[in-house]
Amino acid sequence: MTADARAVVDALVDAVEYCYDQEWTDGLPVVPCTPERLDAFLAQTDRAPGEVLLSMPQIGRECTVRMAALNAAMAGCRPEYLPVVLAAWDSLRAEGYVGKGIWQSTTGTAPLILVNGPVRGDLGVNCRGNVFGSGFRANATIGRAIRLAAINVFGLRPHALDQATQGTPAKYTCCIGENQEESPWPAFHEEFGFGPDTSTVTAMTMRSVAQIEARHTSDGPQLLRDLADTVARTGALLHHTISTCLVLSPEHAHLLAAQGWDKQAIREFVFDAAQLTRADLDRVGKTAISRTTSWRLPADHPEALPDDRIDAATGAFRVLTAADAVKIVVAGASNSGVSAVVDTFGPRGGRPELAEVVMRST
Amino acid sequence: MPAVSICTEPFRLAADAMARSYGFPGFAYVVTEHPVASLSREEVRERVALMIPRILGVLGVVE
Repeated sequence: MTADARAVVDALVDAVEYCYDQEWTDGLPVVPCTPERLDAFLAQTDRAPGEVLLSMPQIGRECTVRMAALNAAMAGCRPEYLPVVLAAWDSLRAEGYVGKGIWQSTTGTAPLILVNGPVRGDLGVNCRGNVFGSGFRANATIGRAIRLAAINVFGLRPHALDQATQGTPAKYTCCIGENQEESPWPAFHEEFGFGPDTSTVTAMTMRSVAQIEARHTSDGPQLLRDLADTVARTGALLHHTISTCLVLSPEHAHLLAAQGWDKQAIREFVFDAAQLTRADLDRVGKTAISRTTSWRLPADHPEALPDDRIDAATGAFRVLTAADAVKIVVAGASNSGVSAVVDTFGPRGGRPELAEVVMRST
Repeated sequence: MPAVSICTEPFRLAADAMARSYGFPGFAYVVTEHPVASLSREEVRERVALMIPRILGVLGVVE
């Protein structure tokens, strides 16, 4: 190594260490940013640097386009990723949970960031093997850009304003592309009215990603009941009902499609199959609803109100409010029957918050 | 209306950080043991009784 090269590396390490000293990190090294590099990011959008992307009135802080760009640069993004990062903020703002303080909660959530459309190919967003795992710059750094801003812009550092009891590995990053090319169905964003040439980002606040390894059956209903069993796990059921996002591997999606299942039929089947009984709820002390908080409680708790969603005659209880509370995405490699159930916060039905990726004008 | 914030021990750091972010470092609040969510009604009453002198103290009430 030449003396010049050694000096460059030493200066770089010093800059990285400086960022650690300022507590500008999630624990991993960040990429130091200069005003010129920040300008290169801001040149990727027509949006004003001062535009507010998300406010947290409870702590009197807000994230602007400039701060989102700075944290994207520090997270390791390339400048051209910025429009996707901005769309992720737009989706998070529209979803609403972050502005109300969910990132400060003991629950310890993180956003699942779903990318659809041609921008996946343009930026190299991984949609195939190891989709929730490591190895791809766009996925790793776009998700990290959001979480770094949570720390650096909103000041949500653990052991202080971030009160997560355990958190989730997704708090480093959780960004996936839909494997539209190997899906038998219309893409997620097309389902919600966007054209195939449009790119979108959908942020979904979530607790956890549970893996479903299911290569034991080629029977559609058996496979869907296996998924529904995890959807209906009592640990996710805190309030009246829950919502979910099924991330199906291409193999599972094709198995179902070949038997005539489309996304709506799957939603309706899972809605019907994701059931517990009054006895299940009694067993875990979640039969009743609190009159003050709407959280679930044991039936003998002083605040308990009966849950009128439990069928009085049969004791059956659907954990989902409606079929629309099931979102369906296809992602992962076409090599095995491994899918995932994502415990999302909402919506309990209705439309997720897709935000269009808007490129700068040319 | 005068009010007093109450939090449990593990939330001290968050409470102090929140106070600083609002521009009130050193804001006085009352701390109680953790947890409270799983207490019975009677146990909640006992906790409140224990805290009353400190609540009045934060309010500046001299008995």
